[in-house]
This record gives sequence, structure tokens and C-alpha cells, in this order.
Amino acid sequence: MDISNKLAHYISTDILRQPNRVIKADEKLISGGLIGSFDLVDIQAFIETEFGVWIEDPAMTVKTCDTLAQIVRLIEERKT
Amino acid sequence: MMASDPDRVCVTIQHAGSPDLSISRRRLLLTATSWAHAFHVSGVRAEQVVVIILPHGEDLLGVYWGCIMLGAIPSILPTLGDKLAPDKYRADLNALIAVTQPAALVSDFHSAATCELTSDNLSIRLLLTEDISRNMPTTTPPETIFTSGKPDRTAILQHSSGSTGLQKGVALSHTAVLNHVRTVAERMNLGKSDVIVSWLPLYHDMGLIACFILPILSGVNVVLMSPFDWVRAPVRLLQAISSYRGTLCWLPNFALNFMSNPNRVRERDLAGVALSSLRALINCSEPTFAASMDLFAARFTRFGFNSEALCVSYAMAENVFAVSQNGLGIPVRRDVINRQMLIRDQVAIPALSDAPVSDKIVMMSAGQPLANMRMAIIDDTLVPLPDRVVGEVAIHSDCLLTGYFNRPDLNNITFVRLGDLTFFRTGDLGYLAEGEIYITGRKKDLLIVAGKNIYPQDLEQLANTVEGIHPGRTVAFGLFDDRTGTEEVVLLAESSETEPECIERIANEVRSVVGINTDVVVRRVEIVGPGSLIKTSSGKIARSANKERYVAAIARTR
Repeated sequence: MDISNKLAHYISTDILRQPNRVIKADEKLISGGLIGSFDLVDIQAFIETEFGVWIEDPAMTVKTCDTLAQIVRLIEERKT
Repeated sequence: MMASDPDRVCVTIQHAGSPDLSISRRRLLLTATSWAHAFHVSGVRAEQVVVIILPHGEDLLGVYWGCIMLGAIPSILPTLGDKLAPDKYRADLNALIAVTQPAALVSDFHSAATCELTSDNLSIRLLLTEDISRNMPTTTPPETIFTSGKPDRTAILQHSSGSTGLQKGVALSHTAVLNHVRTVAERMNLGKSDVIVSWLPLYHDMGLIACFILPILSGVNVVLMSPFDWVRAPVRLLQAISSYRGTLCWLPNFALNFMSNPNRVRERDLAGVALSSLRALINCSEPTFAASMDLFAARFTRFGFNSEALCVSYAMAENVFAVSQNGLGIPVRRDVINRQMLIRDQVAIPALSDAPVSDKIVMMSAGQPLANMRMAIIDDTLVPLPDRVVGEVAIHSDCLLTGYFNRPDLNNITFVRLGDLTFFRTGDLGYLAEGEIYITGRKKDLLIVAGKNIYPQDLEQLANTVEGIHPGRTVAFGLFDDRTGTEEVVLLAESSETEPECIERIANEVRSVVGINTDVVVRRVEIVGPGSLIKTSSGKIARSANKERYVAAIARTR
């Protein structure tokens, strides 16, 4: 599974608890009402555990983490 | 308070990425005086309401106390969050303005621009702090602008969130606020060595009263951090307690779960943190759970946290804040009662010690009523009930609300005479045992998510606007989630659509419309067929019956 699929699986299974829910790359996660600000902290921890990448707190905002594609980009930027 | 020891720090403001700002009593007094003078010059007068929409910071504090000094009535509202829709925010604000009739709205350039607030789209004057600061009067304000006396006039307004909450301003008199502060300060044994540490927003009664007005008026230092910073990095609260030797901290139940989760507060960030100074960690403002408190104690005892510091308080804005309090060196009582008898008979009978765990329920005591309180548990006919019988909690005190501001329609139904005294009907359900109050639920339809009161009708009205949903055929309720320590929102909606893609679209739109208009995450959206929701005999959607059926259905699938 690539980064995007792993992250989508985590969000649908662990946060939404709807394993069959498909998360599209450009779907608005926070402004679309799917997840809340508190969930961002969990996503941050998952990213560190799963991908060995730490996204600093100020970078975890609604503007920068509103879609799967945005979060994947943040991870990839820090992996390189 | 301000006259003695004027250089003593009374507030420390924390902002991520900035040095801490310590504000002395003298500085707060001077700042507040300047704001009061400026507001007076701008035409604001005593007993007029001033709505304040400002971010966390010194201006918010100065503006608030400036209003108080002038005798005006401040009411703090939240700034617009990142994901909320400005038009809905303004619509709610204008609805509040229509009811409350404020003299002015005080904001700053950034907040006003974010909310798209202008003098044109508001029906009241917009005062921007930057404009006022530039034209601050340089003369000494005349003493006559600072009103004194009039203790029974309204001092402050407190609003809860959402369209419904914003139109119910809790009016509290100077007498009520001062009586409350004195009573709580005595109960908590507040002293000069105390330091309160808080991440709570000041538009919330727990943040405003317990962590702002109480310490300022009691001469206790308070450390205020930005709520946004805490959500992003909850460890900051623990670090602040450690750095400032914090002794008291109020928070809602979910915050205990939040900080106990090692994914949310990482072990490496706790290096050097010491929590031994904390003598009271007060769990308040939403249902409290033994498991959440045990979780916190289990994780933080090795950081010096004394589990006996865990307390519970029962509070509401209508009583300024606290109604009861326990703990303070004495372990909180846990009442282990028979689950079936509570559900079926509404009585709290101690469970047999050898009964199966599934037959027991652990109720957390919220403590004894404060010294200025009278409490009664009443049935629907207003008859007081004996100990261990569940009924509606009614309270009488010398710090009750004067009423809901400009809402005589509500005031007629929330007060009741019991004997010679006027009691406030809280809408909460509970029982008394050995002099302590236990809250079992709510009679009123209200969700409490992460300490925030949410009226389900606000969510339902928004869901009704989604294409494909049968208007008026929606129901929202809360379900406790033991993982997060708070309620999660469930919304059921009827639709004739049967195609999975259409149903998914509707569910997504429900989440979206609720999210951008209320900042509430609807964790579960279920689209059901026409006629599926249970109605009352009068044709209304029955929230509790639908919730019960939903809970039973979930239980069957597990």
C-alpha cells in the first residue's frame, strides 16, 4: 500500500470507523465535516509511526491538511 | 484587589511561538481603564451590551474588564474558526443581535475581515481595536464614567453555541458574580500561592468564570494559553503546569482521555514535566467518567501527579458556574449501583458486590452543593423526591441568573417556586445520596461534545436543507464514546433515495453542511427509508426513542 492508501485506510477505519468508506484524494476532510481538529493530532501520530515522518504542530492546520492529497504532500516533502 | 501589590503578575498569556506575556495588576487595570474611557468616548454607556469577538490575547482581557469598569455588559463570542462559513456565522450573530440589542461589537481587523463583518452587514456599530487604539483618549477619564453600585443590574452575559444557544444569553448580576466568586474561592481554599492554568476559551463559562474572573477577583495568578494551541499540542497544558507550578486546573472529561493517549501527548515531550504542584484537577462541564480519571492517574502518577487531586464539579452558566464540588484531598466517591434499576425504575440502588459487572454502573459523585446552594430533586409535578430517586435537579442560590436576556418566554418556564424559594430547573437528571449529587443524564435535548453544548435542533435544521432528505425527517443525538471520553454526534435522516451513490452523497453533504455551519463533526450519518424514524403522538420526531432504537441496533451487531 502506498502512502495515500495507508492514510486513507487509517482515516476510514480508525477515525471514521467505516472501513468501507472511500476517501478521495481531493475530498475536503475537515472543512467537509468528515474529521475534526482533534483528529489531526491522531493523524500526526499515525504519520510518525507509519512513515517515520514528524509533521510539526504549526503545519497541521485546516488549510494545510484539508485533503488526503495535501497530507500526502506534507509527508513526501519531509521524506525527501 | 488591584490596589494592593500592583506589580504582582495576575495573568500570563501563552501563545505558541511567542514568549510568555506576564501582565501585572497595574498593567491590567491601566489597560482596562483606557478601554473603558475609549468606549465611553465612542458612545458606549453603562448597562448596554457589548459583544466581543477577539482572539486570545491581551486586548481581549483589557476590553472585557474595560466594559465591566464602565458598567457595560460584555459578552464574548468565539472568533470564526478555519472551517466555518462566514455567512452562517453572521446570520447567527445577527440573530443574537436582534435578541440582545447590543450597543456595539468590538473586534479587530483580522477577525472582522475573516468573518466578513462590516458596519453595513451588522445592525450595530462595529468598533475595531486598532482604530480605538490609534485614537485612545490621552486625558484621564472622569471618575463619573465608572459606575458604582447597582449590584442587581446585569454585569455579564454568557452565551452557549449554535443558533439556539446564541439566542439564550444568560444574564448574571454583579451580586451573583461576586457571590459566586466568594463561595468558590472559599470552597477551593484559594490563596496567594495558587496558580490556575487553563487552555479553555473565554466564551465558555468554565474558561470565563473559573479561569479568568475567579482568579482576577481573588488575586490568584492565572496562566492562559490559546485553545487552538492546546488542541494542536495538548502537552502544552502539562508543560505550563510544570513550568508555573500550577495548582488548579479545570477541564472537561474528554480532555483527560485526550491527554492520556500516548499518540496525542508523546512520551518524549513529557521529559522534565512535573505535576506534583497540582492540588486540584477539576473535571467539569460534561458527564464525568471514572475510567477517564483512572486513565489520567495511571499515566501521570509517575510525573508526580497525585490522583487525589482529581475532583468533580457540577456547573452551569445559569448559576454563574459551579453548583457543587468534591475532592480537594479526598477521593471522589464512586457509587456502584444496579444498572437495570436505574434504567427501569429511575432509582439508584447500590449493586450487590457479587453482581456481574454488566449489572453494575459506576456513578461519579459531583460532590456536595456549594455553601450558597440549595438543591432539590423534583418529579414532573414539582414534588421533591427522596435520596436515591432520580429526578430533575433544581437549584436555588444567591448567584442564579437574573433571567435569559430579553427572553421572558424562557424565563416563565425555567423557574419554579418550591416552598418559599425560587428554584431554577436545570433540565439535568440526577439523584442525591449521602449529601452528594450524582448526575445521570439530561431531561432536555442537549448534546455535550468535548465540553461544548450543542442543541440537536440546530444540527437537524441544517441537515434538512440537504437535497434528497425529507425536510423535518431528521434526528440528531449524542452517543458516549469511551475511547474519547465524550459524546459523538449521530444524525439519522429519511430519504427516498436507494442508490448507494446517492445515499453516500447525501451523507457527505450532511456532514459538510453541519461542519461548516457549526464546527461540529457528525461522526455517524445514517440515511434511512421514508417513515423509518419514530414519531411522537403529535407527529414530531422522537429523539430519545430513535436513539434507544439505534443503540439497541448497534448492540445487536457487536
